Amino acid sequence: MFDFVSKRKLFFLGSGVVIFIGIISLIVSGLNLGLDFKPGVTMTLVFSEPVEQESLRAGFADIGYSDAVIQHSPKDAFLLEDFAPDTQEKDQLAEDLQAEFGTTIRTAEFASEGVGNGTLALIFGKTVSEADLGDELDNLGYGNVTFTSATLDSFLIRIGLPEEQDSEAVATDISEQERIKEALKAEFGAVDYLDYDSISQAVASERVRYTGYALLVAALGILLYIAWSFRKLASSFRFGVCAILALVHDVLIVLTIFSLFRLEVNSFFIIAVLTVIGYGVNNIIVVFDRIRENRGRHINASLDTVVNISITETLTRSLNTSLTTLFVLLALFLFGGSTIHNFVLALIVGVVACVYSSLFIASQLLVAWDHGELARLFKWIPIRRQGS
Amino acid sequence: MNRRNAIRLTLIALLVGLALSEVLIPNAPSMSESSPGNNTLGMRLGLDLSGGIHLVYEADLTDIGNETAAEAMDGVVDIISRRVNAYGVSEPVIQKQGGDRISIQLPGIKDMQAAVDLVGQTAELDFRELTSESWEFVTQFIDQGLQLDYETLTQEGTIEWVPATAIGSAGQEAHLTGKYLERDTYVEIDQNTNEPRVRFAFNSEGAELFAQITGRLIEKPLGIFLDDGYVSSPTVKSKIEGGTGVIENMSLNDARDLAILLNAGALPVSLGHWDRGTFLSGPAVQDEVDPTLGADSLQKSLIAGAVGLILVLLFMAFFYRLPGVLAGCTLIIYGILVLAAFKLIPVTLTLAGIAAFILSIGMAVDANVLIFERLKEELRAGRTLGGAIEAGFNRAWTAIRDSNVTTLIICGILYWMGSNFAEPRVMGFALTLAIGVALSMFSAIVITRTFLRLFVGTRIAGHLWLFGAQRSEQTPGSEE
Repeated sequence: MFDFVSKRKLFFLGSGVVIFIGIISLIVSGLNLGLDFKPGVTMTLVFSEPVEQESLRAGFADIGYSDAVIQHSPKDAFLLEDFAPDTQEKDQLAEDLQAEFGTTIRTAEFASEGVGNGTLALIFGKTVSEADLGDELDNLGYGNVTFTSATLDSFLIRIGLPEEQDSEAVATDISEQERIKEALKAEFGAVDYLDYDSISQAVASERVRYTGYALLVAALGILLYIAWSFRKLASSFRFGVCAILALVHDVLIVLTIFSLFRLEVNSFFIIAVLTVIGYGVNNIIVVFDRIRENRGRHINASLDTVVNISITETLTRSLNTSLTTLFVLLALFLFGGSTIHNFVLALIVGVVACVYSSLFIASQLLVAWDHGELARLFKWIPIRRQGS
Repeated sequence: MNRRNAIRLTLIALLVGLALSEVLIPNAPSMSESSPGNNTLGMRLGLDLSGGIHLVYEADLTDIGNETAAEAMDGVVDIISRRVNAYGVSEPVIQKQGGDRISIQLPGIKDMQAAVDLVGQTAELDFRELTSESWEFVTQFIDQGLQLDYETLTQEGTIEWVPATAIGSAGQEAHLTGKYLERDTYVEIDQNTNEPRVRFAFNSEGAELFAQITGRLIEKPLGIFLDDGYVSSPTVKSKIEGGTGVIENMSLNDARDLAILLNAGALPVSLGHWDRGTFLSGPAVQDEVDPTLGADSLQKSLIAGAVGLILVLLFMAFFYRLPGVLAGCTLIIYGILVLAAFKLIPVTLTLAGIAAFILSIGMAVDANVLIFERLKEELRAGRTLGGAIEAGFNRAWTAIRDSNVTTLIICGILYWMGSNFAEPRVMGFALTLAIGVALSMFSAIVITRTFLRLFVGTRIAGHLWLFGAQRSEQTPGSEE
């Protein structure tokens, strides 16, 4: 039987180093907060050529907005060909048609390569027949303009801003609008904005804080339940405390990876953290349950031996369950859509951390506590601080 | 196969049949009435997984100062969130856009008009009485015993209404409006007429005003108006002290919508759109959009998830042989049960919910693995299959119980805190996980065990390699 328990300082050191680096990284550079937590810009783009959603996503990543949320929203439009009025004339036409049909009209212009000529796309708020539009254009003196109807690829897009920028300022910043448009035009063909506006953040930060409070209360609940369930053992509350410490460890590992590699944190990240906690509790308790059982069976053995037997006995089960979970997650990570990439990554890191901590942290902390090592550790920290 | 196990098996088959029909029939019963399912199976999906409607409204801020404008827009976001949540649309995205606009995305709503009605109405309720001229005009007809159609008379402009006012606690005259309502308006059915009606309750200030006004208007009509539109005008029979009243004269759907609007409160500003300097009703933008996670991306993820699940089933069959195959069957049944529960309750399925679902599948697999590991140990220790199954289950039970109960505690606290602070995504996660965990305990303890017992006393029970314990050394009673 492999002796896990005597290696515990190695395990603590390994996790300690990772978490130490993580905490430094969190203090220095923090987390890369995504779109959900910061104000940004919303825009509706309409393209003259068909555009694949996934390639548009890549296109936005290329111009610096890897966190763009892109929703496809195709629109029925009338294309007025070889027709490039100036802004005033265009607005007047839109207003006249709007008044006549009693609905909102949005316009987009697709400039063509030739001089002066282009295509004007009219997008009505309700269904309008081709014949009616023809009649009305005649009335307004545009009888010579030819038009076709088409369904255009259009996308509703939200992008986040670097934190130092003010979303109001960016929304009115024409140069950024032009930059995005030119970059997209080079890749996807003629494109125009239907709107471009600043937008408030989607998830209020206080909600994240409340979720944190909820987790603190949940930790207390776990502590009490475990203490009660293991009440037949001496100092059963230690099991609860060690479980909580192992869970904190798991969450810190996930935070470390995300902070260190500047991975984007959006509101789904919170869910990933909650999932990791649920998974971690499950793993820790299975090992603890074995310890509880073996404690009764090997009455004269030391806690070291009992923990070691229990880890060995649950090893197959721990590896099997985590492998099955990782199968699903890896499949999602490798073959799943790009929009849930970071979410799945957080889960993968979390699951690995959970398996590691259930075997090498939670129960080893029990042993360390039994040996009085934890108390020494806490004495050791302030002494070192004074010394440095 | 003994009789008790046969009965168990029949009950399980019955349960699975019921669950399967709940999942497959699009209009299967659900515990919530106002919850439109929005995909082919009638499940409710969140905005990240299902497309929806995108609306942009402009607010009429002309009568409002700059400082209060921002406050008013925050109020709009708050009230619309409340309306949408009450309507049963989960996880809408409601954001301020620019200085005077509001962007709203509602998942799964197909009916554009319903969405526009829900969001765009100001929902200002107010109470009015007839002018004295109008009352005199009306009295002649009432004296002849005629039933009057106040609605038509109002629309034709034959009669006129003025705000019903009374002396408030501050000593000045106050107009009785929806702002004095408590947030517990609900729909009830009138026992006598079987017609739906909306029952509302005033706060203490409103109750005082209501008592004065009804005391003054005995035998006269009290007009109830919503956004300046006539709703009803019951004739006051006596002074109403209790501070509650009803609004009649509407269909069940209208009554339900009105209750939602009144509970959420009136918008501080009107929503609509500007057209050449005129403020009109109706949204500035109304588009249909695909899910925020992208329809293309989700398609790929769905296939990937299916591949992962098949790998899990293969792994279980390979590693645990016959019990592994049985556990695979249990997992499929488990999946059906969970989906049926999601639809019955109903739960809005989002990415958060799917994460919880995957986690609960992981825990269901884990429960099975725990049992099989114990089963193997017992078989190796030389027990018969029947004895090993019972011992294996009993010894795995404490671990399954403790890990699941702890997870349920976490879910309960997250749901409770989530409901206090209105974080729908966390609540959805907690609810989905709790359902998954409860059913996973049931499926591991009841279904897997019933399946395994089928083999007790058959010839298969002799082939221990089928249970992964072929290298058993016949050392009965060995403890170490």
